[in-house]
Parts: sequence; structure tokens; C-alpha cells
Amino acid sequence: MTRRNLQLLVVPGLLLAVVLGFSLVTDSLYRYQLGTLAGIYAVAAVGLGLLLGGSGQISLGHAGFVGAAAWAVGVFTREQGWPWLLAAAVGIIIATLVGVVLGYAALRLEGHYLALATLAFGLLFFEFMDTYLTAGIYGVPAIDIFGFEFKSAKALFIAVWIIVILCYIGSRAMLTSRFGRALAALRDDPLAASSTGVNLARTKITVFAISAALGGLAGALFAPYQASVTDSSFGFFLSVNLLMMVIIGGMRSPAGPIVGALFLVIVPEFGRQWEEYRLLGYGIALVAVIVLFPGGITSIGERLRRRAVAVDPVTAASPDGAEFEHAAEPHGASAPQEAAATPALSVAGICKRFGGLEALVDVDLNVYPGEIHALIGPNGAGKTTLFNCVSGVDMPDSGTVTMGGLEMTGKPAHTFAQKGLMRTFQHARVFGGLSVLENVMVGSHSAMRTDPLRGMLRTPAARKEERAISDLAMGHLEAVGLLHLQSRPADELTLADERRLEIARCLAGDPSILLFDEPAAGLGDAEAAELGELILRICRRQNIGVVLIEHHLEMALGLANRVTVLDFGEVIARGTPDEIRNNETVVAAYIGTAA
Amino acid sequence: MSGQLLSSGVTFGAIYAMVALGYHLIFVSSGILNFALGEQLAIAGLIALSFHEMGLPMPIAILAALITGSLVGLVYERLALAPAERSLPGAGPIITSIGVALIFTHGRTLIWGPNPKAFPPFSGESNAAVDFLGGRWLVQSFWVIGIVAVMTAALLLFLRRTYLGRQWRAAAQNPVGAQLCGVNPAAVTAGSVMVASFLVTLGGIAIAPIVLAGGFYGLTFGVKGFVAAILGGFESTGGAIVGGMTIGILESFLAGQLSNAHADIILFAVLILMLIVRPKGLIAVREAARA
Repeated sequence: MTRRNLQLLVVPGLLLAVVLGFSLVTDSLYRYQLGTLAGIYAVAAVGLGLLLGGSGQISLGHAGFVGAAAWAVGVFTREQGWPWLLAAAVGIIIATLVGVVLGYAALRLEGHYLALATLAFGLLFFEFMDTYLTAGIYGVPAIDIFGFEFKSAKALFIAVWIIVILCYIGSRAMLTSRFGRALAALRDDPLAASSTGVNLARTKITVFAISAALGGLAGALFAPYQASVTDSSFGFFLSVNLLMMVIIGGMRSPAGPIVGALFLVIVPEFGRQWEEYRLLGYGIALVAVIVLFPGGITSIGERLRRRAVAVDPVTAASPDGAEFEHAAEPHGASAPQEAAATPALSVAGICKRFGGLEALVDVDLNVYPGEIHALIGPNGAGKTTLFNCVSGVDMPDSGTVTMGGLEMTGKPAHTFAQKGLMRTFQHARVFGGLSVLENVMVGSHSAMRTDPLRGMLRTPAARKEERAISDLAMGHLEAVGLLHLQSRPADELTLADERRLEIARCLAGDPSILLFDEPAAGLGDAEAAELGELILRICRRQNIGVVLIEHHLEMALGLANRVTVLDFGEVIARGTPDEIRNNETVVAAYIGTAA
Repeated sequence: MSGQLLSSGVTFGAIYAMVALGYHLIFVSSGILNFALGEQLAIAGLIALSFHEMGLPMPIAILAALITGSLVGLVYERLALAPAERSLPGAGPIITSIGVALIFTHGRTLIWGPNPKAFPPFSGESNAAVDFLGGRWLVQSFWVIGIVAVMTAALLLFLRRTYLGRQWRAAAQNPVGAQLCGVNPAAVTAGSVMVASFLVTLGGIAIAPIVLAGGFYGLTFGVKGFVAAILGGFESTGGAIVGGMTIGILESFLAGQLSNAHADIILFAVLILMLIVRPKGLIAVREAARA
């Protein structure tokens, strides 16, 4: 058993000890009921935490999922006489399906539409219960698992908290797996996430479904706990309450929602004489925690750690200069044999209009394995638009994009990444909430097989894959000179290091084509030169076709084998760097005189 | 019967439209969803009554309430919305605006007590009504409709014809570009919350003679306003008005035929369906077809 594995047992072990200890010393029915309620809310809050903290999406209608499953369990156990397990399974499936439908609705537009759809669902469900199920369901039988009845308050309490602990372990494992990294990538930078191979739509719907399922599980426990199902338990207030638990406890930590649930169920008990001010207090707390303490209770330790670390600021310098020894081969002199090879990337007749503006007019571009193709042109020439059109970020109006003979026109960004096209961005885009190493591992997303369920269960195959990908990622970090920063959060990096991290993340995707969008922008001369060496080395050693947008003309012409010049969306020249240096049209476009 | 339903549908629809305008204004200029507007609307009448009780004549008291309402908007935008957008982009302001809504709903009992208060109509006796289009219309309904019409026209003129309004629209379409041209996005956001606060305060005072001041209807107006904004397309000014009227009339007729609760169920179902099939709203669809 390694030290890390032991560390993983600390929180669940502690929780279990507290639960068992509590049940040894207490006989108060009231305390068991309170503890059980906190546990049930904790289950739903863990699900909401995955959604909010994991993926940055928000649900204002989680009470609806809890209520739908509770209602199903009430009906099926009380009126149909089904065993609890079966009824609970059906309830959770109903909640999950509703979650998938709402998740799909929210996908249609970016922004806050999930918040609206969930709010509408929560209110719809409440009104529905209020109108059609006014009588409520009473006499819901106790949980019965293969003949064992959790009739006593104590037995139910222990059972619920064991489920809470399992949910905690599962959500924590999920957050540190392939799926968890994809969620964080989606949360921190959706554009970079999809360009790195993460299928945004599928990831969003999956996390929403998981979150709804945990809400359903909470509801399936709530019905027998309360022994009844009435509409008043599942109003808008419960949705807000669950949101509060996640936020007060800490949305970035898997333990946060559990801490928050305990806090919000237990603390008000001490202030019963202030009951009428409770909601006022909630309002103030919501604002205060988000504004002053966005990480909640469980982030206090992390804050202290960061403060301690901040004394020793991260510097851009590598520990030693050895990684950037100058490449022996001459720059761009000998073009690789391209005549026989299939282009790694082939663009034909691409046109793109934005309203009346012709951003790209009939652009052709062929990039061969192992060559650096510079794409230059004045500001607004359409270079980044071309990148967006050949990486699936924008849809060209006409023309075709093929990769190694594979038709790719109109495919989404994550498909381009899956097929081996990786890119960097004009303004470096890293996933700030993930560590440097995890950022690189996101690059391997589409090469990995582990699904959310296997990631949660940490199956042997999942763990093996995780180790292999992590080793590969460390190799890439070493290649770009960032290995010494591997466990730092990416948002602590300098600009130069962020660009290196982007490159390492690209390499993790095992690319056949790499697009660099102004990699030297904002870097000093020495840093730019180092970066140029790095790009050259990657291209040559791994036989990757590179397209380089660069305003630093000497750097671009020095590195490139071939050059394409764009002006006002049209190709005005192509050729070797020397030909371009002496091309009058190009000189005119850059200097701006009439040729 | 149907004339009666039309009268209440149009009156409430006008208020939903006002709330939808508020959401629309804040959303297009800052991308923030502000859930506090409904509760602001609910306490608007109470503020005006308090100024009146201090001895101010009613029109002045209403004016004072409008200024107060706008300032309250400025205060919570600065204290709760803007910092939340910095610490937790996207979800943060949604959550803190719910917090602000809770503070309005449950904090007002500290000042005004738990019970809603009667509010005098703007003209004539309370519950004065006239026959119009086959129904009895409250005189106050015409005030409501007139105020909403005037405010909509003023807002459209402001956004299209004034320099400041054009700055706002620029900031909404391209925050970075607008900033480069000297537009301060923080000021635009704060200004939009203030104007939205002004609108819902005015709407709340106008409807107070009909539904009492300070009733617990903030969530209802807030949510119906949302449905209206979605129906009209969150990004269309005219859409907010059409959406609000549609929701008001639809709700009134559904409630007349079935019951209030059934009407709500259908409205929320319509909202979810709209989000799935026409997320940009009915109006936006038409505009797209014209382009």
C-alpha cells in the first residue's frame, strides 16, 4: 500500500469512524433523524458539486430530481408493493433520463440556459406535484434490502452514511480520472477543451446525468426516511438549499458538499429562536461566500498552502539551460522530400465570410509531414480564421479540409483533435484549475479508453492506463522543460511557460499536424528563440507537419521550409523563405506602398 | 368572460414584459442573469408607501422610490454581482443574485412587517373600472399598460439614438472592442442593472394597486418574466415585450379555462420546450429569416 493510497483512506476512514462513534454514544432518535437527513442531502449535494465545481454548470432545479425519484419510490413501494431496490432503481433512472433531456436542452445555446432549463423544470415539477399529487403519499415502507429492513433510525442512519461515503469515494475518483479532467477542461476553457479532443456536448450531458442520478438516489432514500412523499419537501427552496451546501462546503473539493450538508442541517438547529431570519441569513451567506470565499469551508487549507507557496514565486527559468541546447541542423535549408508523400493537411478552396467581410477567399494550403509551413500576412489577413476553419472551430462556407487523405470538412473540433490535429492559441489557453501534469494528460483524452464509470471504480485497466498516460505526459513535460513544475496549478505559470505547456499538451495528442498561432507573441527575444528551437526539434524528430502563424518575420522565415502569405483573405504568394524575402508583392503588402 | 381574461392577461403581461426588459438589458450588456429583479418588483410599492408616510405627496414619493430602487440596484451590482463574476465567472452572479433575492424577500419583514399593504391607484377610486372590449378593465390597468409602453419606447430611443445607448450595445456585442474605444464595461454593467432596477421598481409600483404592495409574488413575476424573455429571445428588445404580452394573455386564458396551477404547468413546459426547439426565441427566428 503506497503513501498516496493511505492518504486516500483518510477522509472516508474519518467519516466512517465518526458515524460509527456517533451511533455508539447516542440513543437520541432526534439526532439520528437529523444526521440521516444531512446524509441524504449530502448525496444530492455531492451530485450538484460534480456539476457546479467539476464542470462549472449550474442547476437551479435539483429538488426536481430528488422529488421525482422520491415520488417514484413512494408510488412503487407503497402502492405497487415493489421491493425498495427495484423502486429506487426506477426512480434513479427517471431522474437520470430527465437530466439527459434537460442537458440536451441546455446544449442548444451557450451560457446560462442550463440554469433556466433546470429552474423551469424544478418549478414545473413542484407545480405538477402540487396540482396532481396534492394528497401526497403516506406510509412509505422502510428500506428493505433482501429481507433486511432498515426500520430503526440508527440502522437507516448508518446505511445512509455508508452510501454518502461511497458517493464521496466515487466522486473523488471520478474527478481525478480522465472524465474529471475533461470536466475541468470544459469548465476552465471550453474552446481549448474541444480543440484538445474533449467532446463538449457528450461531457456536459454525461455530468448532468450523473448529477441527476445522485439527486435521484437522495430522493430514493428520502421517501422511506420521511415515510411519506409530499410536494412541500421539493420546492425551489430545496434547490437553493442544495446549492448553498455545495457553495458553503466548497465546490472544488469532493468533501465540500458533505461538509456543507452537515453544516446547513446542523447549524440552524442551534439557532432555532432565529428561525424567521434563517432565509435572510442564507441570502447573506450566498453572497458573502461567493464573493469572499468562493472555495467554501474545505478550501481554507488550500488557501493557506497557496499563501505559503507564494513566498517562493514560480519563475520562467528552467532549472538549467540544458534542455535548450541549440539544434545542430541548419534551419529550413533542406526541405524534406514532399513530392511523393501525402500531405498531412490539405486545404482546398476555403472561403469564409463574416457578414459582408470576405475573411478567406479560395485559400489552398498543403502541409507535409516533417515540414514547417509558415503562414504570414498583415493583421487581419485571415490567418487565425484559416486556423479556425481547419481545426473545426469555425465552419468554412466552402472548400474542403483533408487530413492524410481523410475528409474532415465540417467535422467538430474534437474530431480534428482525435484524428491528430492539435493547436495552440494566440492567447495561451491552459486549464487553470488543473495541475501542469493534468493539463498535459487532457491532451491524451481521445487516446484514452477509460469511461466515467470505470474511472469512478478505478478498475485495474483504468489505473494501468492512467499510469501509462501520466508517464507519457511527464515525458512531454520534460521535452518542453516544465517537468519541475508538474504538480503546480497551471494558473500559476508565466506566459512563456503557459505556451510551453500548450505545446506539451499538443504533443500528448500524438499529433500528425500541429498548428501554432503566434507562439512567440509577448515573449522576449531569448524566449522566442528557445521556443523556435523547440518547434523545430518537435517537427523534425517526430515527423509532424507544422503550420506556424508568426508576426516575428525573421523567426518565421528562419524556421520555415515553405511560406504562404495571406493578405485580405487571399493567398498573395507562396514559396521558400528566400523567394518570399524577395517577392515584391509581399514587401508591398507589408510596407503598404502601391506596388 | 374572454374580455375579462384579456384585461387581466394584458395587465399582467405588461408587467412580465417590464421584468423581461430588465433581464434582457442586463443580459445583453453583461451576460449576467439577475434573479433579484422579481423580488425588487415585489418591494417597490413598499418603498413608495414609506416615502409617502414620511409626508411626501404620492407622485414625489414614487419618484423617490424609483431613485432608491435604482440605487439599490447599483449597490448590489457593485457588492454582489460584479465581484461574483470575478471570483466565479458565469455561475457566480446567478448564485449571488439568488442571495440578493432572498435578502429582499426575507429582509423586508424587518422593515415593513410580514403583511402586504394596500396601495392607492394612480387615479380615481380603488377598483374603479370601465367597460372595454367586452370586459371590465381596472383604470389602473391602463396606467400599467401606458407606463410599460412609454418605458419601452424610451428604452428603444435610448439604445438606438443616444451616444450612451450605442456604447451599451457596442459593449454587449464586443466587450474588448468597445473597451478599446473607451467604453468602460464595468460602468455599462452597473448602468444596466440600475436601469433594470428602475424598470422593475416602476412596474412594481404600477401593479401594486392591483396586487398589493409587498406581496410574496416576487418569484412568480421573476419567473414569468424569464419565460417571457426566453419566448421573445433573450437578446431582442422587442421580443421582451411580445414575450411578456404573450405569456400574460396565454396564462390568463389557460387559468380561465383550467386553473392557475395548470396554467403554470403549461407555461413552464412551454419554457422547457422553447429551450429545446427554439432557444433563440420566436422573435429572433423571424429576424433571422428576414436577414
